[in-house]
Parts: sequence; structure tokens; C-alpha cells
Amino acid sequence: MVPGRYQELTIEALRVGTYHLFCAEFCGTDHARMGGQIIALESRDYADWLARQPNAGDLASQGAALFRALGCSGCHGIGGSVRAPPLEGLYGKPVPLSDGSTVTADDRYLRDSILQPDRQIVAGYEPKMPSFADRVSEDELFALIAYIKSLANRESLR
Amino acid sequence: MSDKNYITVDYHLRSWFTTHDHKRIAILYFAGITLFFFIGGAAATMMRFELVHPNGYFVTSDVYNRLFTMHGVIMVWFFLIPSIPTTLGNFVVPLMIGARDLAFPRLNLTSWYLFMIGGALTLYAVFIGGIDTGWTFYTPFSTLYSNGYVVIAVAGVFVAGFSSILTGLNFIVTIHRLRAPGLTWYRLPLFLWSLYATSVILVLATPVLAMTLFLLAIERIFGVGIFDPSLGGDPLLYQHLFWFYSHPAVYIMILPGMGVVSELIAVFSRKAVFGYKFVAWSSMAIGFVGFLVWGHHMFVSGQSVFASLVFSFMSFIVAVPSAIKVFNWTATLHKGWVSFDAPMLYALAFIGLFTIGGLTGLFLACLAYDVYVTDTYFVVAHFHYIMVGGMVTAYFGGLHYWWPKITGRLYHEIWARAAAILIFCGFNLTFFPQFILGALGMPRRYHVYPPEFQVWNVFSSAGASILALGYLLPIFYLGWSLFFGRKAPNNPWQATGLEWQTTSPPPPHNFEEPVVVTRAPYDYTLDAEAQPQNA
Amino acid sequence: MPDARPAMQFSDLQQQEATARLGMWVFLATEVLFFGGLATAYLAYRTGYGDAFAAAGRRTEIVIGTANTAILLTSSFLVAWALVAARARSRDFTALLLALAAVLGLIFIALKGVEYSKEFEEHLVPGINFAVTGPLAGGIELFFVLYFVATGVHAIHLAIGIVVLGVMARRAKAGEFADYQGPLTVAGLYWHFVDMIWIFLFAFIYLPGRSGP
Repeated sequence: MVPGRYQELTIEALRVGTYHLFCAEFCGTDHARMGGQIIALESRDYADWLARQPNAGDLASQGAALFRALGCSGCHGIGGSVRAPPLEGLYGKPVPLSDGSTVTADDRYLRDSILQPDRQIVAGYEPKMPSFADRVSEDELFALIAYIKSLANRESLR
Repeated sequence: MSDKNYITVDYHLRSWFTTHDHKRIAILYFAGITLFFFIGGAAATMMRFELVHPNGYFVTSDVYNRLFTMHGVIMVWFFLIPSIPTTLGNFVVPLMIGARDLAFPRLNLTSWYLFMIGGALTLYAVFIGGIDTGWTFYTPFSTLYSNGYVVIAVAGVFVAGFSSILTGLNFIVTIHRLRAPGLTWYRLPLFLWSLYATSVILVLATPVLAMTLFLLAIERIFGVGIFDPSLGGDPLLYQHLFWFYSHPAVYIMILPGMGVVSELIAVFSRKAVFGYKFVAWSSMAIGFVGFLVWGHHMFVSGQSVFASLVFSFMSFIVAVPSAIKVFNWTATLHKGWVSFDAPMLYALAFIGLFTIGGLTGLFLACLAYDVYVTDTYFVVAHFHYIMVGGMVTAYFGGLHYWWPKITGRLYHEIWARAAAILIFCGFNLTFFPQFILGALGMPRRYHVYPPEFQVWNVFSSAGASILALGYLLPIFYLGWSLFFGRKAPNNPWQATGLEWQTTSPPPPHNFEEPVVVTRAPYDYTLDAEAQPQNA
Repeated sequence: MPDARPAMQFSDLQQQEATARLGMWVFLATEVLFFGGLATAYLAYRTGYGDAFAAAGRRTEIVIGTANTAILLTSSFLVAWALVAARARSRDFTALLLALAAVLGLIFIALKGVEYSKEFEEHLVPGINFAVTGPLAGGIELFFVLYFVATGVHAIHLAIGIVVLGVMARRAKAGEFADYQGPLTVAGLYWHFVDMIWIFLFAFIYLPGRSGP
């Protein structure tokens, strides 16, 4: 793991219980304190727990507000003056890039596109998106990504 | 014919610092590595003290991170890698091949100065605030985020690396070109085969470390992205380059010990080493295959599963020559006339402890298990069983064995055996609980840990205090022997090597008469006198 | 002119020379691994950033690079000739050839300096004034980092070689190589090696992106 990058890991819990989460690769001053717990529950208990959480939709609606406030909808919304890739139905789908390769639109791709838009250009588009690296915090990035995720099942309106 | 030996030939201090005599240079190195051993050991003592309590009681995280980094850097580069080659090797190699010195005596002195300058630089970095990157200096932490004195420390290691290269170069050329008449390759003592293999690794692997550290320093000083992912660099390239050196480096840190053990087992069983050619070539095999396994340090780094598969397989293969040695030493003991002098206690301890370390290495070579115990105390225990239980034990064994030759004095045998036993017990109490800790999941480089790990940490720290005592004892009885010990005869162990066919200590040019070799080594028989190699 | 005698640890001059040569070959093996680490980094990044490395290669000063290659090849030829001349006991001619080779080395360094200053003016020095932009900028910067490291380290080795050749020229003039050419052989091996490294560097640095249309 490297600062500024997202990683995804899937694990299958074979037994119910509470497990330590340790940082395994030396990472800095508080390496020994970087951790937490992973709690594995039966599906029914998990559903109960999920129902008791604050509405996850809150994060996405915060993201929607940011999306407008930062001006993203100016290009990515309907009637935008600049031609930009549509974000509806984007999350999780393959994206063809200008150098001929294809990437999947996952969390990491979305984060990189907001912070370093020059690195991967969608095929058929101009590299015009400015970087928001000095205008969004980590928390705001989470909200924006949650919002774009919530658009995954929508049809593009263009 | 002078009756002065290499020590008494000139008493001026300047004659020691400008000497070309390999025996004096060995003593200079001995002083250096002993100093570094105790500094690295002090760091370990503080770490074990801290680890008694699960909540980070005595030192802050930053201090603890600096302690384990210092322990690793100093022990690896300034103690273990030089230890046997530069002290015992420098002293014994020309004697064992019947030569008057190494091939390049002035280069030998240069390598000592480089070693001390490198050590001074690294100690300076520690003194002004230290480094907290771990001895592996992984990027991007070491290049972008660490606020330690990385460049100075790395410069010290870089300079010391040249010392290693020159020592290895000297040994290779000496063994090729300066053998006495009659000393064919298959008449070489096994210590020389293992030093030859070590030297090949020293000269081929260390330059890669030099370049890697150089690139790391460039990145840190100029802020350019060689290994920085945000600038298109690859942190895994650093790991590949680093481990391409550092894995062979661990064979540098065991092969000389194996060579010493071969010598000790033969002398103290009064028997030729079983399967001489197998033991000789197994050193070469370890050296060669050791260059092909570096990726087993990177199983969880994100490298491809196929690469991990190949490295796992090769890591199993590299265990085979080591196992051959263990079998052959055991076969040498069988029906031998075994005596339990202090050097032999160390040799026997080596066989047991190295076997445990080696077998746990197989656990780690196995991909599935490695993922489970990666970066836990299991790995820490594994490499300490090999490096401390193996190499340091062999170093002490060799030190005691050749002490009469080097100093002309005999040490007190009872104290020596007591220290050996204390070391063996302290070592096992320190490191065996760490296998358990690792299997239970305690990560390494942690000074704060969940309370359920405390009991094993306490055992380990208790063992460390016994081990420390065991390592301190030789200072006293070996030091005492220098002034009050009985004078040693030429051949106190009745051994067959050429080094025992000259005075203790040797004259400045090693042999009064030119040497001609007529026999294989280890010509011991149970019912007759041992036949020296130049008989 | 003193009689050459072997050092204390050798039984004769032949053993001394054979030992010195083996020592130099082992040393050159270490140098191969040293530059090899750098070559590995270069090859890894060239594989990943092919277009950027080609673009960067086109921005190198191929005229200076080619001239420098010719200079080093010539100097190696002179050093090899000097060894033949020494064996033929031509004291002054040996010294002249070695001095000329050293001078060629100095010219190489001077041209390298000119090249570096050109690159400085064009804002191609990473960490100092690198100013290339665009999608290939990251790869181009990596190329130039490796370029400066490789040519800088090579230049240090070359400078050491120039000093060695100068010392050898002086010793040749004093007639030290009439009977025994051991040091000269070994110095020649080192110089030829530094030359060979340059040939690889030339291919890695100046030729990417320049072949074909």
C-alpha cells in the first residue's frame, strides 16, 4: 500500500468473531497503532447491524451537493458547455482510454480522475479537465465517489 | 631467523594503522566489529526491554522505530557481513593455503579504512537523530516521508559495501593464485571453499546494493521520482533491486559459519568430514541458487502469482545444499572420537539451531503459509535462528578455536564452556517464543501490541537478558587470557591444517620455510597421529 | 631503471601479473553488476514508458554523443597500442600514446560538460529546472534522471581512468615497463571496460526514438 492510492481486498470469513486488523508493512511512526478490528457476523446479524446504521445515502447526497458546488456539473451535467464523459452508469464499467488500453471505473480510477485528470484520458475526449487536488479534502473525495457510485444504475441522459 | 611474531615485531601504534600484514588487519577488523556488535546489541536490549509491556511504556514510537532500524543496519552491515570473513578469514586464509599474505595486502588495509569510515558515517547518522525506515529502506517511505537522516546512513552503508567488495575480491584471487605447491582445489580445507563462495556473492551482489542505495539517495536529495508512484516511478523496482542483493547477502551471513563448522566438526571428532566434495560444492550451489530466490521477500508485494510460484519453488531448492551439509556433518560425528571443548559446543549448537532456522525457512518458502506469517515475529524468529543461532554461534566457535593461534594464549576452558551453554539457553528462550508469537499473529516492528501477546514477549525478553550475559562473558575470560593465559603451543588441538604447522602466534611472514602440501585435509585416524597437510 | 621484483607474497613476476589480471577481471565483474542495476531500472521503465523514452531519446544531443563515442573508441585503440609498444620497449612512444589517450578522455569530459549545459538551457534537468509538460512528461523525466545518473557515474569512472593513464604515462617515460608490463595491462583492462560501458550507454541514451521514419 502506498499513500494516495486505494486498494481493494476481498476476504472470506470462515468463522464468526472479532479479529485484529494490523498494518503488516512498516509505514511510519504509528505503524504499531495503525489498525482496528474486523467483525464477522452471520448474514442475519449483519442485516440487523446494517439497518441500524445512519442512512448511507447521506454520503451520496453530500457528494451530489459538492458535485454542483465545485462546478463538476458544468461539464459532466446535462447541457454542459464542454464535452465531458457522462458519469451515469459509469461506476464498475470498462472505460476505453486514449492510449488504446481499457480500465475499470472503480474507486481508484474515480479518485485519480479527480486529482490527476491528465494521466488517463477517455478515448475520444480532450484532456481539458482541471485538477481538483488542492480543492477537495479526503472526506469530500469519499462523498463525491459515493455520489458517482449512486449513479451506477442510471442510464446516461445524453 | 627472528624470534619475533607478527605482534611483537613492532610495538608502535602507527605500525598497526599502516600495516600490510593480513594478521594485523584481522585484529583491526576484530576491534571494529566487536564495537558494532555491542552497539547493535545495545539497541536490541532496549527493544526487548520495551517489549515487556504491551503499551509502549518506556520509549515513543519514533524512538522504537529508530532502535530497530539501527539494530538491523548495524548488525547486518557492520557486524554479520564482515564478521567471519574479515576477522577469521583475513587471519587464517593465507595460513591455510601456505602463503605469506593475501594477494593484495594494501587493498586489504584500504578495505578496513573504508569499513571504519562507513561505520563512522552511519553512527553519525544515528547520533544526530537516527533513521526510522527499517534496515530495508523501503520506498516511498524512505525517500518521501521519513524525517530521519536517511542519506547519511545510506552513504555509510554504501562506503562499507566497497569494503565488502574488496575483501571478497582479495579472497577469490588469493585462493586462485596463491595456493602453495601441492595444494589442489580438492585439498583445500572446507573453510576456504565456503569463503570462496561467500566472496563470489560479495563481489557480485554488493554492487547492486550500491546502485540501489545511490538511486535512493538521488531521489531523496533531488526530489525526482525514480521509485515514487505519483511521478510514474515504481516502489516495487526498489524492492526487486534491494532484495536481489539482500537475499544473497543472507548467504554471505551464513556460508562462512558453515565453513567454520566443517573445520570444528572434523577436528573435534578426529575424523575427516564425510562427503568432502559434496560439502565443498554445496557451498557453491548455495551461492549460485541464492541469486535466484529474492522474490520470496515479496510474496505479498503485488508481484504476479506466477513469479511468486517460481520463487517459492527455487526457495525450496536452495534448502537442499544446506541440508546436505547438515547430513554430512552428522555423518562425520558418527563413530568419531568426539570431545566437547568450547569450540565444539558452538559447532554442535550451530547444527541444531541452524536446522531449526532452516526448516522454518521452508515454512516461509511455502507461499500459502508465508502470506499468513509475513511480517510477523515468525519471520523474525526464523532469521535470528539462522543469523544468531547459526552464524554468530559459528563465529564464537571459530574465535575460540583459532584464539590460541591468533594470540598465542590459551583461554580458561571451564568459563568458555559455561558461556557457550549460557548463550545456547538464552538464545532459545529469546527466540523460540517468537515463533509462537508470529504464528499467533503478532506483527514485527511493533512496540505496542494486544495484551494477549504479552506472556511470550516476557519470556523472550527474559531470554535476552541471559543471552546478553552469555555474550558479555567472553570479554572477561578472553581478555584475561591475553595477559594471564598459558602460552599456547603451535598445535593445541592436534589439527592437520597448515595454520597449525607454524608458531602461535605466527611470524610476520607466516612460515619460516616455504610450504609444500602433500595430503588432503582432515587426515585423522583414531589409532595414529594426525597427519598435517604438509607432512 | 630498477629491476622489477615481485612483491613479498609472490614467488615470481609471472605469478604477480597473473594475480593482478585476475584481480582486475573480478573488479570489472563488480562494475558490470553496478551498472547492471542501473540498466535494470532503465529497461524496466523503458518497457513501461516506451513512447516517453522514445520522445526523450530524440531530445538528446546525438552529435556530441557520437563524437564522444568515436573519441573513446580511439582512445581505447591507443591504449591497446601502448601495451604493444611497451612490450617492444619503446619507452617514449608508449608514454606518448598513453598521454594522448588521456587527453582524448579529457576532451570527452569537456564535451560532456557542453552537453550538460545545453540540457540545462533546455530545462531538461530533473530536480533542478525540469520543465517538460504533457502526457509523456513523467516518463521523459524518468529518462533524464537515469541519463544524468548513468553518464555522471560513467564520467566519474572515466576521470579516475584519466588519472590512471596519466600516472602510467609518467611511469612509461621513466622506463618502468621495459621488462614487466603488469600495471599497464591492468590499467588497459580498466580503460577498455569504461569504454565498453559507454557503448552501451550510447545505445540506451541516444538511439531510442531515432530509428525509422
